Amino acid sequence: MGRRSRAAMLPTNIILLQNLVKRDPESYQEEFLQQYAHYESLRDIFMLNGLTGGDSAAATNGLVVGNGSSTMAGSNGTTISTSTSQLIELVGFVSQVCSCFPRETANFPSELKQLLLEHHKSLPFELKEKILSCLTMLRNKNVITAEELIQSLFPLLVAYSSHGNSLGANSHAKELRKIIYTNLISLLRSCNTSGKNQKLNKSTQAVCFNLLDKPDSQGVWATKLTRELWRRGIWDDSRTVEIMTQAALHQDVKIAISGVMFFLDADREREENFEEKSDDEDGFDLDALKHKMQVNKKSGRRGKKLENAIKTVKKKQKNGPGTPQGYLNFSAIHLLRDPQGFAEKLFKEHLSGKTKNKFDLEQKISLMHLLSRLIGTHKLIVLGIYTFFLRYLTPKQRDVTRIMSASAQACHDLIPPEVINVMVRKIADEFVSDGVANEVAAAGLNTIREICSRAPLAIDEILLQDLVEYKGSKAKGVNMAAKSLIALYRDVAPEMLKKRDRGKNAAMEVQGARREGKDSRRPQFGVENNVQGIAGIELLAKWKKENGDEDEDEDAEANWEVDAGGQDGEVDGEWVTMDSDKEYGVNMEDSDEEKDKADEKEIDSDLELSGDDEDKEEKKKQEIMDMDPEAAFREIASTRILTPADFAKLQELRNEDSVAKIMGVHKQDRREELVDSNTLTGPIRYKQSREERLQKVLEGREGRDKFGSRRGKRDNVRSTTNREKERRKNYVMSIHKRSVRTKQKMSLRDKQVVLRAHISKQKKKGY
Amino acid sequence: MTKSRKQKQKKQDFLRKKLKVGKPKERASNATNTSFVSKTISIRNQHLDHDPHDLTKRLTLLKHHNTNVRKETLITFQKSIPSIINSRVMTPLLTQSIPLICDESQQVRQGLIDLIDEIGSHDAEILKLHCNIFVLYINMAMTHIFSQIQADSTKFLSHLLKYCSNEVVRKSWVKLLNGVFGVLGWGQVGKNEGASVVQTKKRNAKYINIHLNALYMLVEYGCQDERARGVDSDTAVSFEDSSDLRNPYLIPDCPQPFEHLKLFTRELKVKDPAANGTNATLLSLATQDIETRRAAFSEQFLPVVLKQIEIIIKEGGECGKTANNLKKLLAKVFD
Repeated sequence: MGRRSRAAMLPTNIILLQNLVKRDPESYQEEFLQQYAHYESLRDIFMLNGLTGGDSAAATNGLVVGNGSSTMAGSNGTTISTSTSQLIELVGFVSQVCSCFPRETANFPSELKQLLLEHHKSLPFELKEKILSCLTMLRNKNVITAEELIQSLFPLLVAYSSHGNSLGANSHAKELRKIIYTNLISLLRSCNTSGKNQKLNKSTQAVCFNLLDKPDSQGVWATKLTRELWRRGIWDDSRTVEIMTQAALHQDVKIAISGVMFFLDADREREENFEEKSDDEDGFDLDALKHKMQVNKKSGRRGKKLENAIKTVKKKQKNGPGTPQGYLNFSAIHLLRDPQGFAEKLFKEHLSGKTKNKFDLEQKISLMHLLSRLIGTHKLIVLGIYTFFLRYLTPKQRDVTRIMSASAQACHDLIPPEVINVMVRKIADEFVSDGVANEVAAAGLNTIREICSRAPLAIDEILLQDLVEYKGSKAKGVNMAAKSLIALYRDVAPEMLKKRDRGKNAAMEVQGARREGKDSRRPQFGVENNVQGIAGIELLAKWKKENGDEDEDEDAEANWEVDAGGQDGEVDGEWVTMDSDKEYGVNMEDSDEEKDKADEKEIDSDLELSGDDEDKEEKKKQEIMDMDPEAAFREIASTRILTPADFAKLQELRNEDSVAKIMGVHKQDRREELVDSNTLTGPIRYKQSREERLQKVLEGREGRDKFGSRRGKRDNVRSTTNREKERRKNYVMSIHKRSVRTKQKMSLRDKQVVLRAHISKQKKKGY
Repeated sequence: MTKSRKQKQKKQDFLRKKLKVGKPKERASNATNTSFVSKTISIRNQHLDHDPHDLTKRLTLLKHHNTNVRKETLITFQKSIPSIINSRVMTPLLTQSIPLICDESQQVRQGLIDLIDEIGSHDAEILKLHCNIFVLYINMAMTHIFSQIQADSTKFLSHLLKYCSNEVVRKSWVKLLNGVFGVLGWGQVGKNEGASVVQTKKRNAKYINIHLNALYMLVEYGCQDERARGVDSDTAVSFEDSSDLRNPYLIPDCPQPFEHLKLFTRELKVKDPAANGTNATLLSLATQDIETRRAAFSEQFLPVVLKQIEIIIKEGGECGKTANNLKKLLAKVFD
């Protein structure tokens, strides 16, 4: 039952009434019904008048044309009529309280939807905005379902994004799109916060698929939405990626490019997004690593490089398998269902078909990058692309370094070498000759190196030996590029180099192999070497060898203990009850001591290595070089059981290894590595312009308060001194003064006297 | 030293520039920016003829923010009705003045009533043409949150009924009855009366009297056939019979005779009409003839009216008298 004394509270405006109804819906039912009837009559009036173009529509119908135009101008203005604002107010009121009266307002949401969907062209913007926010509110109050809301949002989004839809000047299409888009995103986010709402996701994705099925440019919204949701980690499955593949293959340029850019950038975007959100613990011992790297050789640049490398490793690790995952952390390219088919279609329809000219160069380069990344990651075979690249590989081509990096990424060892060979030859012919600029030659050499590091057989011996000759170039970039090519082939196939370029180790190895009559280590087409067993085990084996055998057996036990000590923080209580406190403590100390000893030895051995007895080092290194992961795995796994300490060490070594890889020391499996187009040309220093120089000078002057000029910065306020005035006096005025003129007429003797007197005076003053 | 910086700059304009690849042409030092940022360009209308007696110019004053201006405009129009009654101004005048039913000022509403009376006395057909909008706005006023506007709404209804009773009761019988009941505070759905109604009821019985009068008129026009109403019965019946029977294919005597079929009206679809109860079904019902109206009234409204009337009669006074009249009428109609 309602309250008796409520008549004392007479609501005179909607807001007050809303408050009262919300507090006590039962008592104020009559008022609510009255207002609902008011809403209905307002809506009817609106349907009759408002939809035909403002309140004065009837007036214009009855009047002559001249007057009509003047009233039209009045009605189309920004002011909204009172009935519209009343309707807005009432719509807000009803949607606020309609959860209290579900029976009476059963039809209300569908009315709003109909108004919005069928009459959106004639509604004023404010009303549309209000209805949108009310529908969202109804969704939040669970009056309508999320699916219903999405079904009314999407058609609007589509309707307001087409240009030729005869939308009036005051349709506010842009604002509406923005509102709808943000509503969609926040809706999907809120539905997916506590566990994924698969049903909603699937239905929304179906809508996206449908949008992309149409030939017009509406699908751009599907891609935009998908990309945003991917960035936030809300959608992360292969269906999402499938949407984007469909977008990338779309006929419309805009959609296709947005799909392509998704594959190129979306993962990085997502990583950045999550990076901002969380910066937590560092997984490995940073300082120890740094110390080790710096023991080898000290230089500031190297240190900085190391730090950067560590940062990237950390980033990789954070999203790697070690971190707890709230979402599927696969990159979009890995989630592709049919990479080969996708790549083939992409190449056929966008790059080689009749319609290839619809993309401009920038977009074509993006397409090339995507294709090459697909090919590199999944080891696909799209043979057409290599001849396609030939057209663009000339020094005069705009953005040629980016094309070169794409062409390098598109290579891997399963492609027939003769296919890539054409490309390599073209690059060598066009870029690497005496007549071109240094950076051009450097870019050519670096690209060839990148290609060869992925497919070592792509180059023939003669060409390689020709290119290697550039190691004597005076230009630093070219020189470095040629040397890096040598370094690569020393590692991969030393036989292809000339004897004098092979280097000591490689030469000895080749000789040894020839002496023993073994087949060379030269790579062959179609033979793959994969890592099996434990990743990085060869590093551990190497480390064991380097650190000698002496500390292997002794601290094996200690190793178990050390890590037990580290681990049992949680189960400490249980362990204490085992009444072996004393021994346990002793063990801990022992192991610590031993560890320290081991560390010392390690450093010693390092010093020794860098020291004088080179023979030993040679031998060891060669052993290490020989070791391939399979052999290492067999050796270590068969001889001993890996302790937790070993695994810790392994992890550390792998970190170090990945750091080293980034620093350009190792080049092994680089399928997914990207070729940075900026580094291809090597370091170039262009002459600075005047503005740049000036800027640099000004930069140097900042913050030099003690030594900088004090002009215009006097500490206490005063007038100018006589001496300052004298100094600043106009020259022409002062030369006519008598005191100055007489100086000129002075005899030589007098001049001398005056000078002497001045000098002695100055000396007395102490200058 | 001799040339100032300004002179040098001036001279620079006439020097020949060295061309460089990728460098755009430099702008002259005295170049003027002529770009502009504007979403729309508004061009003022050309008013070639200025007729001081043109009443259409005054139509916008009906929306003026000042109460007095609105009132005076209504009075001006009322005075000039005899001259403009057959002109084109009438339609815009009515469409613009009818929303004033919900005006906040009592004087303006009174002015509007006078205007309607004036128009009705000259040519009731014009009111009949705009009957639809009238009913919509009266309905809106009946549910208005300001009690004063609510109270005045029945005045408009009774004045409208005076001139175009037939159209009103035919087109929106149930709707108007609902409205009047709401104004009187005879709730049908809830057990409680509206708070505002309770207050006004206490304050003055004058309004109740007006409401009851309006209801009386509504019932009289809606449920009582013309013979009983005391109209010149012979001619009316014979005329109706003849027009219905003899000339079914001639032009009908009322505007938009097939409107109730709702062939050309915009309307929002109702998802499930049965879900909203009997009232909604009644609202969608066409009440073209007396029998349907009677049936609807006796089914939905009669018990409430009888119950409430008894209370008012007991209270006596002016209201009691009117209520008694209404009771007699009801007894006569539904005997």
